[in-house]
This record gives sequence, C-alpha cells and structure tokens, in this order.
Amino acid sequence: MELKTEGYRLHNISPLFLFIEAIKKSVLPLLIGIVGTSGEKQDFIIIAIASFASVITIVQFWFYHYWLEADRLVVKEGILFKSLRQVPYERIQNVNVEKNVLHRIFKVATLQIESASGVKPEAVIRVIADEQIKHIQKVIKQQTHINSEDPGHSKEVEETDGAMGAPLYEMTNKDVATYGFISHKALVPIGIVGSILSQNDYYRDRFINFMQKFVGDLHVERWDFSEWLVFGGAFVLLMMVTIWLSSIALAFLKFYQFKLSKTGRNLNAEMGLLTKITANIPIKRIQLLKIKHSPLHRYFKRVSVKMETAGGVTEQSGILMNWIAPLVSRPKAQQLVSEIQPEVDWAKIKWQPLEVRAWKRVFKRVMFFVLLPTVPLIYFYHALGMLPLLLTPLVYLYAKAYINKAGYAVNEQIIAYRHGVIFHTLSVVKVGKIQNIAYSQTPFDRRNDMARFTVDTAGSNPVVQDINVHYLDVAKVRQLVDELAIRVSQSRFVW
Amino acid sequence: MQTFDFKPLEKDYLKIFRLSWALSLLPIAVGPTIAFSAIFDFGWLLRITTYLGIFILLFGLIYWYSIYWFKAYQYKLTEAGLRIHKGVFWQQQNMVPRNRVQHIDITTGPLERRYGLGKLVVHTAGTRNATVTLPGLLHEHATELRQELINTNQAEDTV
Repeated sequence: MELKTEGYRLHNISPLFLFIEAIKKSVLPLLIGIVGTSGEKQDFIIIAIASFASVITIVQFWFYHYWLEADRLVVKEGILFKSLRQVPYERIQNVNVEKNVLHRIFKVATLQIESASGVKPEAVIRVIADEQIKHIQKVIKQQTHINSEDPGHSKEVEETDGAMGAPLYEMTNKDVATYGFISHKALVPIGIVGSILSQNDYYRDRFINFMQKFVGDLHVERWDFSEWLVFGGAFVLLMMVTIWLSSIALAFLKFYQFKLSKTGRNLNAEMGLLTKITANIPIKRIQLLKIKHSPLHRYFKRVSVKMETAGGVTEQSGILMNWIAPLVSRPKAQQLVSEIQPEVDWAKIKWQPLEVRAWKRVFKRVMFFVLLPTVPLIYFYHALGMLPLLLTPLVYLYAKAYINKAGYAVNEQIIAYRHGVIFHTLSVVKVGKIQNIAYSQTPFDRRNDMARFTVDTAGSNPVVQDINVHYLDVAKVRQLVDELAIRVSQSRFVW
Repeated sequence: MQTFDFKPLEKDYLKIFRLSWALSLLPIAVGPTIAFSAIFDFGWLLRITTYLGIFILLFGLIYWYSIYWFKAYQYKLTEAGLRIHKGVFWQQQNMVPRNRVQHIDITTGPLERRYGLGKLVVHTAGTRNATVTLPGLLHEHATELRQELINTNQAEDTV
C-alpha cells in the first residue's frame, strides 16, 4: 500500500494552545520558584528566556501533520528531528478528549491517543476542531472492528453508533460533594501553597506581624485551659472546613456530571466542570478492576471503582482516565462490574482466607514499629515513655482484623485479592491479562512455611502491586503458581 | 515442544560472579581501611595490611555466599513457560508463560564473552516484573532457548 505523506494539519488556533502548554510546563514552575524565594533580578531574566522559548514552540504547528490510513493513524512531527509515528487502529487503547473553557470558545479540543507503549501517550493532537475529532473517533471505531477477527460485532457498532448507550453510571451533584468530602484531595495542595508562601520573606513577615497583632490583642498569656480548648477547637474546625470546602470544589472541577456509558464494546466516560474530559476505552483493554473504600466511604455506605489500562499514562504525562465510578453504593458497584465484564461469573467467586496463624506475624510486625520509638522515649521520659505500650491490645485487634479482612480467590476466569483494615482494596484480574507469576520468601516466611504470591499485569502501578497475596502456606502457593501457569499459557493475551 | 527440569547455571558463571565481586570489592575495602587508620593512627605498612585483610575477609564472605547463591540459581522450561528460581536468604521464583513473551534479548559482557556465556533478557508486557533476566547460559544455549520461547509463542499468539 502506498503511504500518503501529508494530511490534516492542526486547527488554526493551535499556536495559542501550544503556547499555553509550553508556558504551563516551563514558566509556571519558575514563577512559583520566585514566589518561594522572594525573586531577584536574575530570576526574571531566566523567566524571560523561558517565555521566549515558549513562543518558539509555536513553530511546531507548521510541522505537525497527521492522517488516517485504512489500518493506521500516522503522525508526522518535528522541526530538526523529525518523527513519523504509525499507530495501527487495533493497537489503540484509549482515546481521550480534553476541553477546557478556552477550547470551548474556539470549538476545538485536545485529542490524546494511547497505545500500550508505556508511560507517554502515543499521540497528543493539540488542538483540532470538534467535527474533526468526531470524524477521527468514528474512523478508529469502524476500522478497529473491520480489522478485528470478530466481524459479527461491526454490525452492532453501526447500529449503536452516534446514539450513546444508556448510562451505566451517573454522578449526582450530591455524590460529587460527598466524594470531595471523603477524598480530602485539597489537603496536599493547601499544604504545598502554604509551604511555598512561607518561603517568601515578605509574605512570611506580613503573616507573622498579623498573627502577633491578632494574638497580642487576644492576650494569650492570660488564657486558661478552657479558653485554649475553645480557641484551639475553633482553629482546627476552621482548618477542617477550609479543607473540606476546597476538596469539594476540586471534586466538582474534576467529576462534575461524571457519566459512564457502554457503547458496543467500548466504555465512554465524561467528566469535568471547566476542563471537560471525554474518554473512550475498549472494554477488552481493561487490565485490572479495583474496588476501594476508606472509613469515610463506609460511613456513607459507598465505594470507589477504578480500573487500570495498559496505556500507563500518568497524571503528569497526559490525560489520565482510570475511573469507573468515583462514588457508588456497594450493590451498584457489583452490578457495574458485572455489566462491564459479563463473561466473568461473579457468583462463582469463592474467597479463600489467609493462614489464620499469620496474625502473629502481623502483630509482631506492627509491634516492632510501636517499640522502635518506645526505646528512646523510655530513655528520656522514664515511666511515661512506656505509654505507647498501651497500644498493644489495639495492635492485637488490628492483626486479627488484617487476617480476617484479607483473602484471595482463583477460578478459571479470574484471580482476585482483597486486603486492608482501614483502607480496603479489592482487585480483580482476568487470567488472560496476567503477564508474569512469581512468589517470594523472606527468611521470616521460610521460618513460618509461608510465601508471598504476586501477579504482574500491563499498565499496573509498579510501586503498589495489586495482586500481592502474603502470608499463604508455601505449599498452597506452589500449587497456585502451577495451576495459574497452565491456565495463563492456555489463554491468549489480547492487549 | 522442548522442556527440561531445573538446571543450574554454567559453572563458569560462578567464576565471573566472584571475579566481578573481587573487582568491586577493591574500592569498597578502602572505606573501612580509612576508618581503621583514623581510629588507630597506623603507619603505611599497617594500612596496607589492613586493606588486604579487609579485602580478603570480604572476599571470603562473598566466596562462601556464592556457593549457596549458585546452588539456588536454577531454571526450568515447562510447557507453560520459563521458571527461574533464585536467592539465598530472600528467595524468589518467577514464571513467564510462553505466550506472554514480547521479545528476548541476549547480552554479553566482556568477562562473559571470554567464557562464551550470555545473559537472556525476557521482556513481557507487565510492569514490575516486565523484564526477567537469566544470566550464565552458554551463548548457543541462550540462542536455542530464545528460539524455543519465540517459536512456541508465534504458534499461539498474535497479540
């Protein structure tokens, strides 16, 4: 087949968005640095250089071409170092669209296409017209199904094309507010802003002056205990309310009108207030499903449902979409998961417990961290330093609960693992998505005849492995590895 | 489909393991030597003796450890896939199913080339255990194993 060498260009307004993106990446961090260090002249020179460099990035616009061929998307870019990237439609994992207020004014959007290539998205087309995006999405959808070996489905797609399927899950404003309250997402940003501002001499002096005057008028030195209690309590409450309100605001920015629907073999998700994200994920590309809940989740009788796809894009490297339902009741979560993966028989899952005797190991482990600070405390405060030992019964309860709440399940279709006393996570991986099976034993494990069993999937978080079953009898683990190895080698892996 | 039970690595790889440790112990032994000379205020002769003593002590430990390390390092090819077992104190066993292999590299270092050895690097699409390495194979065995893993893979899987 002959390759075409030119095709569509970016939208005419693109340079503006390219410029904004460059500013975001280069100038903003520098500006924050200035606020942090009460900037000198040379800082402004650096910023001037960075701004100039940002203007230069606009040139990309004239060198960015992309076009759609029968079986692939081709992106040609680069000024000095040119690159030609070809992405077969079948390899495309997620298609995400981002629209903020500025995008909406010009009726354009940023399109991000992911394959299973790792950390960076395959192509970020910034920006093109709305109709063009619709066109590309349609082509990708049609071509994928024509090329896939299962032609029966292409008809189904055409039928449902255009009309979005009935929503599987929608978030009401109340849900969004509750999610914000539960997540405490603003805690970290508020801390960061506070610490940056405290680096600036000018703001710090003003703040200290203000506080001195404020506190001076209150005559702290004459307070008794009850006054401390009242004012201290009021201060803590004020901080909490600030964090709650800003967390709720953040939740609205991100999840306003969150909607998940199923069209044929794809999931469509929409969310966002100012910046609206539309994501399209083929269901067969989902590598792992996760149901999580924290104490606050349990208070509201809700859970969060997330997924992992093989794209491996993080919040820093692109538009990230890994939500099935940010906040949903437990029975509804079950229903959602079984609607998304109807081929898995959820009723057949039988949970197996960990070894009951393992509670002693959890107990010893946690007690070690309790005793560690106790030693210096006893040295400095003598008898009072023994106070942490009062935690012992709590640790005992925790250890028992840990073993009780943890469990794993294996059958022909899936492997699942759940664990966590305070923050509970349940993860499910289909056998076809397993990449690697491993088990390991520490010296402690060998003393207790136990082992840790792990399963690796594409696009998973390398730090927190989700299927990571610890405190299992080593004989059971060996058998499990053998069984799974055969099952995995018999099931084909489809990205 | 070719299979075999647990096999040890090539004996020569143990030599390479020890030799490369000996090389890296040369600078490592400097640290304790400086510490000792600072504490006891040695003359030059004693400093050199201390250095040699520390080096021999550390190398002796490595030499002793490597016996068990080598014994524990084993691999096996089943119908399901490649299994690698390793570790003395912290033991682990890794299993790569045949049909999950994405691609395989064979790398050789200067020391390994002298003994005609190679290291097999198996890549899967996973994240944490995405690359599984198996050192200390005869170069032609590594090539054979690679061919075996890739061949069976092609028969069943198109991704």
